[in-house]
Order: sequence, then structure tokens, then C-alpha cells
Amino acid sequence: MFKKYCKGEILISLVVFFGCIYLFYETNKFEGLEVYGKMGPSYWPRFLLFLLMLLSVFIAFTTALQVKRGTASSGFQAKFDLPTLRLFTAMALIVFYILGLKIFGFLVLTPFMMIAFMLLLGERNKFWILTISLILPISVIILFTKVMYVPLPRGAGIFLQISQLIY
Amino acid sequence: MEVWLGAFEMIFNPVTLFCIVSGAVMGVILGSIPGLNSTMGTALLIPFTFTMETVNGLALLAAVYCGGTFGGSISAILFNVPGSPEASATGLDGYPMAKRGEAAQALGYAIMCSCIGGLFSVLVMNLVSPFLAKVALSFSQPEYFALAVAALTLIASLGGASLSKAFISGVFGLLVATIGIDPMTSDYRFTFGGKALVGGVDFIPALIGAFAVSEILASAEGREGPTQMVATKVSTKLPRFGEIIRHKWLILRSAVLGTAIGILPGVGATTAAFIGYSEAVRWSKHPEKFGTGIPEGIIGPESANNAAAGGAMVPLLTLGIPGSATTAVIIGGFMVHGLQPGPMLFLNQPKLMFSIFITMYIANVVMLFGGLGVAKLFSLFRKVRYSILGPCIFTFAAVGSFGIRNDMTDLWIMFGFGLVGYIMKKFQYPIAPAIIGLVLGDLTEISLRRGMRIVDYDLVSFLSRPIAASILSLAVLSLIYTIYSILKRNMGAKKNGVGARPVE
Repeated sequence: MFKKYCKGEILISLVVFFGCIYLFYETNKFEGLEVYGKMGPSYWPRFLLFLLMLLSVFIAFTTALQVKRGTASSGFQAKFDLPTLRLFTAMALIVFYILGLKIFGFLVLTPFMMIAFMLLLGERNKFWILTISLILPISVIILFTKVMYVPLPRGAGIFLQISQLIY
Repeated sequence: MEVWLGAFEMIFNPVTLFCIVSGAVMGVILGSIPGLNSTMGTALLIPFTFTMETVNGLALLAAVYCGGTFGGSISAILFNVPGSPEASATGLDGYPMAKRGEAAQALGYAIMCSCIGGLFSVLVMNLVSPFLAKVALSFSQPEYFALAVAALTLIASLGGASLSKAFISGVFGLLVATIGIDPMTSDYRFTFGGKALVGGVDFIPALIGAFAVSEILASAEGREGPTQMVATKVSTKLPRFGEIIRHKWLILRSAVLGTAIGILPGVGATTAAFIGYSEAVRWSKHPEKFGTGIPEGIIGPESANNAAAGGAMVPLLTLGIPGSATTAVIIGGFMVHGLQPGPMLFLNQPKLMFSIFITMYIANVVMLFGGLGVAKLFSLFRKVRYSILGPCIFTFAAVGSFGIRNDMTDLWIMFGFGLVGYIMKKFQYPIAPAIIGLVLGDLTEISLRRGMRIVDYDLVSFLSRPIAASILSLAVLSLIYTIYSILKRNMGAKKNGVGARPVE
């Protein structure tokens, strides 16, 4: 179990390390407009990337050492079960919500997102699910768009027309 | 004395007092809702002040500013979603306290220390404004860099047992802060040819993602919301006089630091809050407890950020230079009444200037009571089941992230940081250093590069300025001491067999 965790630790260190190498390569593109001599736009990011690489190697090395000595500690184990499925569903829900805001708008999409999220988190009281998911988005719309003049996504096509009825 | 009496006469009438009270309460409410803040509030109120008497208009704006700086800490403590940037550091210890069922105490400390910090800065402001403004103007890039480095040394204290993980998290935050247009050369950095990241990564969506969204994801996975962990009955509990006296040096130190940082143009209350937190950790006898939910972790940033709000008024009133975004907006309030803040205003309209001081005294006291009311209202939500509260928090998190720049990119940043925060939690990487790095990244890099350019890249000249050298020396010494203490503690724990587990 701990070996699994440590593998995860080492994997993260490797992702950080190789990610840094890629970003280091990206910093070469900053030099084109360099006019300020020694400390151009790439100086600080490169310094930080170098530090990150050093630290990731250090963490990978110490974790490997801990595995060898049998002193590794953790509370995390990777496995695919119902909680993990719920986690991925929550992620998918958030991604769908962000993608959908441009098409469906805040007014139409938010109640559905809230209902789905409440069900996912285990809420079963239909009255509260429906009441909260309708009242909260409308209150937010009134507060943000009517009182504070902060625009919220309206959606496109027919959804834009629906949104325009309120804001 | 005559000026003071005249100023009192201007303030103590029903209309002006009503403006101050309503302004302070409005500020607390605006500050406590993610996505809205006192800068926005003052900007929206300026047209309304046009028809008011000058003193009433300026009193309203100053009161909104005072209240708004505190308001953000209510949602930061209760839901880990800071209502305003200034409250970001408050959630680091405030939220763990709330999770433990001590939200009432956490809110009480936040309200009381905000009030004391605010009153302290106004006192300083009306006693030594012109002198302080001159000192602040002598600060240059090396001093700003030293300040930022001093605050970054806090990272070492936030890692618990793993220093390297704290540093990796902090450096990650600093690196994320470099995304977008380079402020010196206008080069695009890490934008990968797209437009989405050109504006950089705003730290509020990042913070909301790392703390609130990651928690929602964890709750979806475990179906165990924070409110279900401890049954909470929340009603704000102000700290007793004895408790305030016990923390007197911490409050005083944070208020002095906050006022000093607030006076520096362009640094602001958010940096002041993190430096206040950093110094609270540095001077504490038990730095390892920070981040687990202790009152000192609230007292430090809350005293500092409200003191910074008062401090930011010093360069505004004495030199006409805004010390923060909101004070820049308040200049507009002066201008609609045909006034130009600066030294001449003190000569030509002394009563008006002193009436602003009195307004800020009153606003800070009103904020104490207004804060209690608003906190009580927000506290009701803590009683709601997480299966209902979680989606509500997510809605506010999304609106709060989007509302900053009205840009969908900020929602993706929120989600991205939510994932990063979730993974970091799973692998026991502290999240707070990443946020501190992100907040202080710009200041650190720009002050270093501009400062080095000014001294023609001579490191000795850069580091040998008296104020910068003193701050940096203290920061380095404290960092060495922190690392030494952590290593010593870890070795002690190893000897006693604590924290060591066999590998399966």
C-alpha cells in the first residue's frame, strides 16, 4: 500500500521534473524581445524552474530512500471504487458547467448543475434540492447584475433570449 | 483644536452619521460576498456621492472601504472562500478553526483584531501622516524586494514535517505568478500561443480553486462535508479582554507592520495580511501549529490588513498618491467634489481632512457591530448540510472567480487549481505556500529586476542599502532558525519513533 503511495510521490516528482524541462525549453522563446541585459524576461522563471527541478529530484530521492528503509508514511492509496467514481463525476460536472456556461448561460445552467451536485453529494430531500437550486441562482443574478452591475454569462441562441428576460 | 472641533461638528449630525454607519455595513456585506469587494462598491457609489455634501460623500466612501477590508474574512473563515483578496491569509487558520467547531471564536478574533488594527492605523494616520509619507517615498525596489523575501520565508514554517514539499509548493506559486505579459519587456510568458493566459493568473480564482473546489471534490469523493464533521452552533464570540491582552504584542506588531505596508504605494492590504501572518509565525513559540487553526493565525493577518487600509489613506491624503486600488477609486470621490487630495488640501480644507480621520474611527467601531450582524447571518449557513451547502459554495466560487475579470479563463484557473489542490492534499503538499508564492510573485520578481537594473546589476549595491539589508538579514536569520527548528524536531520525532511507519 505504501509502495503504491511512494510510487505516486515519485511519479509526481517526475511529472514536475519533466514539466520543468519542457517549460525551461519554453523560456527560450522569451529572449526575442530581451532589451534589459542580464535580467530579461526568462531570468526569474528559469531560476524558479531550476529550483523546482532540484526539489523534485530531492523528494523523489528521499521517498525512494524511505521505501528502502521502510519509514515511508502516507494516508493515500490509489484505487478505483465508488468514491473515485463520484470524484470523477464531480470533475466532469465542473468541466461541463464551465464549458456549458457560454452556451446555456448562468440562468439556465446553474440550477441543473446545483441539482446534479446535490444528488452527487447525497442529498435526497427534493424540496430543498428544488428550492435552493432555483432561489440561489436568481438571487445571485439579481445581486450581481442588477445591484452591482457585474455581468454574468448569458449563453447563446435561445438561451441568450431566455437570459435577456431577466438580465 | 479649533480644527478638530470644526471636524466634529461636520461629522456629528444625523445624515453624516447615517452615511458612515450604512457605508461600513455595506462594506462588510460587499466584502463578505466572493466576487464583490469594497473597490467595486466605492466605484459604484461615487456617482451617488455627487449630489451629496462633500463631507457626507467622502464619509460614505471611507466607511465602505473600512468595512470591506474586514468583510472578506467572514466567508474565508466559514467556507474557505475569501470574500476579498485581503482575507486570503485569514482562511489559513480561520477555516480549520471553523471546521473544528470554533467558527464563533475565529469570527470574534477576526472582527476584534480588524477593529483594533483599523483604529491603530487611523491613530497613526492623524498623528504622523506627513512624516510617514516621506519615509514611504524613500522606499525603493531593493526595499520592496527585501519585504517580499521576508514574507516568503514564511513558506518554511508552513510545511509541517516536509520542508521540501513546502518549498516546492511555494516555488510553484512563484512560477505561476510569472504567467502572462512580462511587466518590464511585455514579452508573453508561458501563454503557449493562446490569448487565455495573456492576462496572467489572478490569485483569487487560484485560491478559490485550491481551497474551496478541492474541498468540494474531496467531499464528493468521501461524501463527508466539513459541517458534518463537527456539529456547529455558530454565534460570534468576541475574545475576552484578557485574551486580547495576552496577544497584545502580536496585535501591535501586526498593526504596525500593516500600517507601514499600507503606506507603501502599490503594495496593499493583501501583502500586508500575508506579512502579518508571516511575522505571527516567525515570532510564535509554536510555529508548527499555524495552519491547523489557531487564533494567532487570524490575529496576525486581520490586524495587519485593516491597519493597511488606514495606512493606504496616508499617501492619498498627504501626497495625493493612492496606496491601494480602493484609495485610487476614492481619489475619484474627491475629484467629483472638485478637490485634489494632497498637501494643499490640508492647508485649504483642514476640517474636511480631519473629518475623514474621525469618519474612519467611527467606521472601524461600527464595523465591529456590523461585522457581528453580518457574521451572524452568514453563520446560519454553517448549519446547512454540506450536500446542500457544497453546491451553493461552488456557485459563489464560480461567480466570484468569473466576476473578477468577467473572463471564462478564470473559471478554468479555478478548476485547474481545484485539481492541483486536491492532488496536493492527497500527497500531503501544503497548499498555503503556493498561494503565498502566487500573491508575492510579481512583487518579488519586479522589485528584483527593476532594482538590479537601477544599480546596474551590482548585487552589492542592491543589497547594501540600510533598510533592505536589515530586512533581508532578519529574514535570512529567521529562515535558518526555522529550518534548524524543523530539522531538530523531525530528528527528535525519529528518535522517539513518532511519524515513522513501516512500508507494507
